[in-house]
Amino acid sequence: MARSPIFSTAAAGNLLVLPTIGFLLVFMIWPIGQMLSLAFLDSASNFTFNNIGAALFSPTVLRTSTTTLSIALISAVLCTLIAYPIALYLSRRTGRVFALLMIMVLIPFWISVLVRTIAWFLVFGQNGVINGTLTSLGLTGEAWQMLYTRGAVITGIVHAIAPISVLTILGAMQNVDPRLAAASASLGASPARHFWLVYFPLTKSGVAASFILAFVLSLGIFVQPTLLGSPRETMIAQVIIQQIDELFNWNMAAAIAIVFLVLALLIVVIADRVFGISLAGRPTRQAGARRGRLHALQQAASRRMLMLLATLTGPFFGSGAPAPPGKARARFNATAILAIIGLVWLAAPALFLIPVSVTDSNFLEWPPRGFSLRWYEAYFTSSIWIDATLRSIIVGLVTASVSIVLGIPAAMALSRGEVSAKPIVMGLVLLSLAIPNILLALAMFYVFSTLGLVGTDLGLVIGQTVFAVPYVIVAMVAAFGNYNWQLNTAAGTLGAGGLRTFWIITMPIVRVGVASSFVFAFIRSFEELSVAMFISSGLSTTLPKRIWSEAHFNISPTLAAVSTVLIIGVTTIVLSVEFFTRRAKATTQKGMSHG
Amino acid sequence: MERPDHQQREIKLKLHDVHKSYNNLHALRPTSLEVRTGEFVTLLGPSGSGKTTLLSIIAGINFPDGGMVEIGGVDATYLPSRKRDIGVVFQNYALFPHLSVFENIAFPLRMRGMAATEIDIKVRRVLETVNLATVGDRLPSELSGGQQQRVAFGRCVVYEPSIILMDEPLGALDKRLRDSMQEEIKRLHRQLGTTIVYITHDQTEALTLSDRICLMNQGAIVQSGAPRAMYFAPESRFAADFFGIANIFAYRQTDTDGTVEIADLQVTGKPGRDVAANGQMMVRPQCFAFADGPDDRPSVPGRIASLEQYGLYSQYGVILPSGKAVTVQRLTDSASSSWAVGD
Ligand SMILES: Nc1ncnc2c1ncn2[C@@H]1O[C@H](COP(=O)(O)OP(=O)(O)OP(=O)(O)O)[C@@H](O)[C@H]1O
Ligand SMILES: [Mg+2]
Repeated sequence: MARSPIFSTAAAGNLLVLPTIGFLLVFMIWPIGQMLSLAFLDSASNFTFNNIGAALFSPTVLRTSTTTLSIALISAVLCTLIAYPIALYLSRRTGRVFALLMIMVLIPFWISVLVRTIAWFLVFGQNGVINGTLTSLGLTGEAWQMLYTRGAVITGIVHAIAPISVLTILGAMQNVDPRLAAASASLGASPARHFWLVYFPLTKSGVAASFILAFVLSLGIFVQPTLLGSPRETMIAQVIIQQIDELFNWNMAAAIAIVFLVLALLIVVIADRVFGISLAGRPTRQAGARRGRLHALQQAASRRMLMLLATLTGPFFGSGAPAPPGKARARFNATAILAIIGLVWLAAPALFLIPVSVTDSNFLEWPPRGFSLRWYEAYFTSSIWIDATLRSIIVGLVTASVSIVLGIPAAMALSRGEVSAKPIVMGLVLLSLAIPNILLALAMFYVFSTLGLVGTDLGLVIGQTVFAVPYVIVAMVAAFGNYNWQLNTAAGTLGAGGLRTFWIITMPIVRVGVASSFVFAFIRSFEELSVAMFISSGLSTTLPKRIWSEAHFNISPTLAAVSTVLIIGVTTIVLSVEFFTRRAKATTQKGMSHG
Repeated sequence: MERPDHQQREIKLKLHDVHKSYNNLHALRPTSLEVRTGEFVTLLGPSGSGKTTLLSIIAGINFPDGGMVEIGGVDATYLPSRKRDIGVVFQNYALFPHLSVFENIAFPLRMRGMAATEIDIKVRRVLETVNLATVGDRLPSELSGGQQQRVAFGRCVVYEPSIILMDEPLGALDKRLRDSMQEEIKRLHRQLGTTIVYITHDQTEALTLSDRICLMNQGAIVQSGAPRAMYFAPESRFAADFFGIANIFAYRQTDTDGTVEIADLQVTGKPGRDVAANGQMMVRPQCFAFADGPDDRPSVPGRIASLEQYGLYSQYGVILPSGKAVTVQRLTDSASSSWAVGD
């Protein structure tokens, strides 16, 4: 009698996601739980509500919470407003143009937030790009104070998050059937009405997702308010860091974190209700007749508003009539103009750093004065900078490798759909993407210090892997999306075992996806600041931490030189990944047209 | 065709009451089947009837909820595919896109640890057999659909598995290519003498290729037998309809010696085999002939209500005096034009 199989396929799938689940439970959930439970302990480890009470009624917390929430709300609105036309423009392009525009979104996305904030520092500075240009044109007498204002902080935050908003909204737009436009037109809708009454409602879920994501991400930000803001712009993450860094009060820090997380969650839920869109993007189900009537009223009101918008914006959309013969239809409409302005705005700030990095002046100023490579010399000959860079590279490589090893089996199981633990994995992935990095880093700091991992490279690798694994899983699930799992079944019938099939069939076919996941996990780790701030110790630190300390102290042209090196590095990597992906795609497509 | 000797050969594959459910759906009801060495058995049935489920249980891609699979007299119910000595040709071929045609065919041999020189000889021989000797270096994506199909077949026969399983191997090809591939499969089956279990939902394909057809419906084998028997002596309304247009008539036994009367046709006669006293019978449309003049065969008047030309044959809708509508087909020839609607 043959043995019945030990593992059902579902059990085998769960086995593949087990390492990832275990890793994230131990190094993400446990530290967060530990840290949050501190909120309910006093200094003698007795249970108490005092910390929560103190946090709730502390004027500092109240003030910074208000500041944070208002900055985050404004940033989320602006992000979505800027991202929508860009996404709309991208969604209508194909082929080479689409790839090019996509690169224009992806490069800012991958360039370190630290570098981009330094770029804004240069743009807004007393002798920065804007003031310098105005002065050299003889337009203003005295410098315009832009740095250390709320506007500067919000600009920095929006610039950091907008690429993510573009990608989120674009995802929703790509699900809209392109034939709907023709259908609307045939039913008598003008382009403006089609947009507001059909297209916009269909992409509303993407807008809501983008808004909520941008809001949540803005809440945990500390780099921009520190470098671009005044004390009036102090945000909650800075207060939490201060509690630990300067006051060593873990209990209070945890209490503030809890109060703030609850507040933020409340706002997300309210926003969700107001927009009437569930987080999952599905319309909310009506319960009972009263809600039904209310809903009908709401719908009528929103329809009237959309009609009004259609009428008001009609001129921007044109009549939709075919162009008269011999006269090409205008190619640039309002969307294109807004999108291109948006894309340039995303790309430009970092570019200003490049000329400044070869300035002969001792200060970060615009226009750059003279030409000198001494700032690069300062970087390349300083053992502190080079050590930090090498450490970042090594830690990044190890982090990327570990993330790949954990993430690929999980992504495989998820995309084959044979795991019952799927909700757990997806929950962990979403949590790690949504939770403010700084909170997670602090939680890890707290737990790692009891494990003796603080100040070690191992601690750094573990901490950064927590952030990188979800990226690898998301990217690899996408890469496996086109993979034909029947090949594995076929290999099985031809005599290959599971492991052998993995190495000689699956891996060679998805190798481009693996390579790009590896590269992006590497960049993610290479540029990671939060974990490095707390887990690495003074001397043996990483490049972002080094830049951060230096920027705190003095933003000098050295930082422009370091930033330029990083910009060139990331751009090269993104372009080569794009090149190899396209080439791989081209080969398969060429093949398919033959077949 | 040399068919008769199968009855004497040993049983290669034996299924005993295998069944499989997904949630509450009976994808496969308890099913038993025996296939003899060298036999070509077709599983035929509409979409969702459980053909793939049954095949994947035989292949070890899927395991049954209960029952037993025996291959060559050994219990193989829970054996993984690679230990079953079977070969599978998948509907979309599942060729390895990153390996050349040669390497695709060499794959099973490499998995068996065969020496390189031996692999070379064997693969070249198979490439000859499937008429692909000149394209060994190409990638699967650089081949036509029919060529890909032959690679899939070659990859399967190269290691001489004792049973070959094919799941709609010709489903992705156009009609003309399908016909020539059917010829090819038939030739290879004769040449290699392998046992083949073949899936299709195309009744013509099943009739052309098989030694035996198992007709499946709703997760069960409803009838199995030689193609002729399946076509002319279906045991159910479903089977009658599945093999093409069927004219169904009710009959009634009128005499104790077995004589029956078919009211619609106004004929009586003795059926060629034992049948129930009252029931239904079927006449294929091409078994009717138009009576051009007096004839000694029984005939019945009718009015032609419709006419469709299908190239090789013409199809007539005929209304009988009883009001019953029947379908009649006959070869299209110059004389056929003399029969028109209204006659
Ligand atoms: N993995 C699965 N999960 C749930 N239901 C399944 C699964 N595989 C098959 N089924 C169901 O089992 C039934 C039989 O499916 P099967 O694939 O065997 O049909 P088939 O005869 O091969 O059909 P087709 O000709 O369309 O390939 C169908 O109703 C199908 O929906
Ligand atoms: Mg099937």
